[in-house]
Amino acid sequence: MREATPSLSRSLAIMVAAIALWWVAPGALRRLARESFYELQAPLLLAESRLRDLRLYWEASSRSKDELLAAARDLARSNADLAVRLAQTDALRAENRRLEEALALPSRPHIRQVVARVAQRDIGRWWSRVTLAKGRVHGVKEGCSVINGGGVVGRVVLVHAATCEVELVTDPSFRISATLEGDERERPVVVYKGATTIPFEIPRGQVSHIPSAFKNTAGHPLQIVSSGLGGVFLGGLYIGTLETDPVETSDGLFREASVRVRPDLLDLQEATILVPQWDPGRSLP
Amino acid sequence: MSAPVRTGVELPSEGAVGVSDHLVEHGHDDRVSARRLLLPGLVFALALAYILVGLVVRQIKDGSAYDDRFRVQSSRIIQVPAPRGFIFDRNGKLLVGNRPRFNIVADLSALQDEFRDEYLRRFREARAKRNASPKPYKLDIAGLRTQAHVAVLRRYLDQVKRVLDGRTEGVDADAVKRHIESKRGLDLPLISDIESGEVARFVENFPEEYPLRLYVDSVRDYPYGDSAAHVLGYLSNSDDLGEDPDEDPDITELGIRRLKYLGKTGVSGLERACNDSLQGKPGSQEWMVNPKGQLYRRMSETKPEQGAHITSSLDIEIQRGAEKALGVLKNDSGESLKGAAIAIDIPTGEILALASYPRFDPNRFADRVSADYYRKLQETGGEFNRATKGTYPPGSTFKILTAIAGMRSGQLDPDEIFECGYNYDIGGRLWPEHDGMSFGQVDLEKMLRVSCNVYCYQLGLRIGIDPIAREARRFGLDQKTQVEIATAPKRNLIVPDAAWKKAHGYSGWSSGDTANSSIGQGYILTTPLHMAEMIASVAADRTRTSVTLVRYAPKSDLKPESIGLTPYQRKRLIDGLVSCIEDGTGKSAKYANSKTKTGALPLSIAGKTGTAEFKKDGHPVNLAWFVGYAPVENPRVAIAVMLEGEKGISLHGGASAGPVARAMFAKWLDSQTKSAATILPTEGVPAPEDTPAAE
Repeated sequence: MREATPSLSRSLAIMVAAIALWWVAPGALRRLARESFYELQAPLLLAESRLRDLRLYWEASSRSKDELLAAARDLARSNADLAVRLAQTDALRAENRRLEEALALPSRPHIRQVVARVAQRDIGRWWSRVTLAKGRVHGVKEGCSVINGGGVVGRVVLVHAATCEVELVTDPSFRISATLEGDERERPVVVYKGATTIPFEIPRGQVSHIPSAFKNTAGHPLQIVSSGLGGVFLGGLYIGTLETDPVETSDGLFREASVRVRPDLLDLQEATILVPQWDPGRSLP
Repeated sequence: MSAPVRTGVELPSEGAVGVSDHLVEHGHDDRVSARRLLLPGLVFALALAYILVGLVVRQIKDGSAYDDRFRVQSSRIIQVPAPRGFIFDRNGKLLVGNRPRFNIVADLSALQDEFRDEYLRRFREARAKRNASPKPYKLDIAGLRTQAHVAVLRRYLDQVKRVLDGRTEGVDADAVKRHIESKRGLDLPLISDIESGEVARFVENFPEEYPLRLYVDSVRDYPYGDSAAHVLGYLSNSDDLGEDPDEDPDITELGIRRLKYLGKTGVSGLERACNDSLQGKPGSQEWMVNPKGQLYRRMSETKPEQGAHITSSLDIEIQRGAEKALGVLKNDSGESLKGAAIAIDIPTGEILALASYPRFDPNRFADRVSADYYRKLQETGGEFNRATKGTYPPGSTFKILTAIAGMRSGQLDPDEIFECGYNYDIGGRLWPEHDGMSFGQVDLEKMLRVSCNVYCYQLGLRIGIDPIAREARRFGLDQKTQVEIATAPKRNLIVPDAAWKKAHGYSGWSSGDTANSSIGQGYILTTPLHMAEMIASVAADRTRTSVTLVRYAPKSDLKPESIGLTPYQRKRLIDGLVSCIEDGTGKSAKYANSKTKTGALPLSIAGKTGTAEFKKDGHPVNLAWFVGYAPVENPRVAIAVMLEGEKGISLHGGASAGPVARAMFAKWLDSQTKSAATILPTEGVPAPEDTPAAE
């Protein structure tokens, strides 16, 4: 007992000294320490992600041959469909290029696609943030848009060496310039904003700044897609579907509506980070 | 007390003081001590009681007063203007709406730390510079503070401008200083009216918690541009945001400080007349402020509520038709002649069109009118509403009233023949017929058809000025009309007679004055709207028509009476007005080609033309008039047109004003054809009983 007391005192003294030191340390040092701590644990996140992929692989490899053959057939059909679309896209691209040359338009900058697996998803921030397993070394920058086959996933808000954090489309601080699709008349430019969502509930957002004269004449719930005017996201990417017809705000200037966001974000496994070859802050030409 | 006490400790037997003695002695000491402690104890008790009582008084009795004082010191009310209500035409077409305007503003409370850091940095630099200076001087602390604010704001603004691409706005140090001095709690506007593409770029490139943020307000939008501008009016900036009847009465009672965003108020037209209804209910936010007066927590918010919509009596198609027709006649410089045109729905008195040229574009006043545009308006007089404010001699259109006065006085038989030569001798001076004509034998019908002056000279001299002036007054020519928008002041509306002339310091009334007045010349001055009201009244066989620019307006307190002509007298009067259109001076109001009488409107029209001369600002001005109504058998629409011919331009009522009236009658006919397919009122337009009464 007598021996333990000095040791406890010493430990407490060291702890107090460390806190005091941290408190008075320069900001740069503290930031460096924080980032080092994060970078040190990043390999663990990546390893965990790999193990998860491995587990999925083993689960898949335990499937029967019939199942695999059926899946292969579906895949072959999809491939054939995609090959046709690719050919059409090539033709359109060639047509586009010809028109651009004819109109002497400036050349389009290249957008590099960085495919990334989900490294971590915190249960407490399920609809808010997700960590992807690609980072600075892969050319990812803050502000890059993140999409997948279903549409908009979110935006990169923090970049580490090998990982990056993505603010999801359902996060209350996420906002994007959007437009209403499904009405063939003039498409108004509106603002989509994420809304607070309870874990495992259907994620929702809010669309505002819909012109007060707007009416849904399409006869079905309208879809919200990115407008492409903001300079960060490309146009036409699916965000969600209006849950209700837009209602007029009390000031009579606009209408607003609740948006049902894609449910597949619940089980996000992979996403594509679009890395423009220009500063993400600059507008798309 | 005397019993030994067992302590378990060996006590000395002799020569020592016993325990009991100790106790006795201590007991004595205790009593002494207690006595000594009594006073301070009492003092402490009293102090405690004082504190407790004070606490009770302050917490319970005065608690609410302290709460109020705290609220006054630490709260601010921010008032946000409500979007104004819309104005529709009688067919539900939007004449005045709102469009949202996106602005970028700086949230000053979010920048306080940066302002302070920047100020301290600049202060240290300035102090070091001063210390190094051989000549001592005082630091400009207020200037340093403003510089710090500007530097921080400029840094953020530059970031935004890089994203928006192409914006050139800067940060005005004086504006920042003024804003912080007077509206510290409000956001500071930096970029106004950004486009939708810029909104998109801002939204996607800056997070919501960024110190510069989007602020949306509404700007008045006039989709028809300068059409009906004088009726609709325009707005100017104002701190008067209107009343919120549901506001917490404590706010007013306690005198909590209010900060207001700049609102708008109507300056002219219906925007002014219906300002209270259109203005809506302002929104308000109650904020807690820190000791520096910076907002830090929003306690409550009430959203603004849009003002009521107004349905005007205008038919925008007739209005535009009138404006287009008014613009046809041009002067030597190629500019359209000044003038006015009015159409009135006779059964209701609702004004279908009220045009005045030159016009102005109220959209240019929607935010801040440019100095160049305002100067140009001053030069052209575009802001002046000639239809309601311009006063002119009515010329021969007044002969209708002279004829009525003659018949009502019993001194004129409508079939009586007057010999009318080239001129008429009044007091040795020859008063000429118009255009050097001689009409020979003229009765009432012919007088109205050919607009014979000599007939009216003779009639006027026969009955005297008093019946004529009385008749003009019965028709309200000396009274302001009931229309909601600004009109000519009563003192400018002149119906002359001997008393009037004497009261205004002129020489005595002469026969020449009577002759002049009988043909609508001389001192008499009236507005085009008065003449439109007069012909509408003649058509409806009443002396007054209550005109309004608001549809479903409450019934006027005007009590019109019948004109008082016998049926035969009235028939002859109407015959004269019809023949004026069919075969007289007013043919161009019905026929596209008045000489060949082709291109006739399928409408029976009664009317009277007029040509007058007067001096405007010392320069002779030639006026062309037309007043008329249709259909004759069931009067529905009354029209008055007036054109001002500048020096060197000769105008005639029939040839110049007639075609304008024809265009308006044609538009009215169109509207009657379409009205069967028009649903009234359209969505968003209040039902009749909900329409607020204009002032």
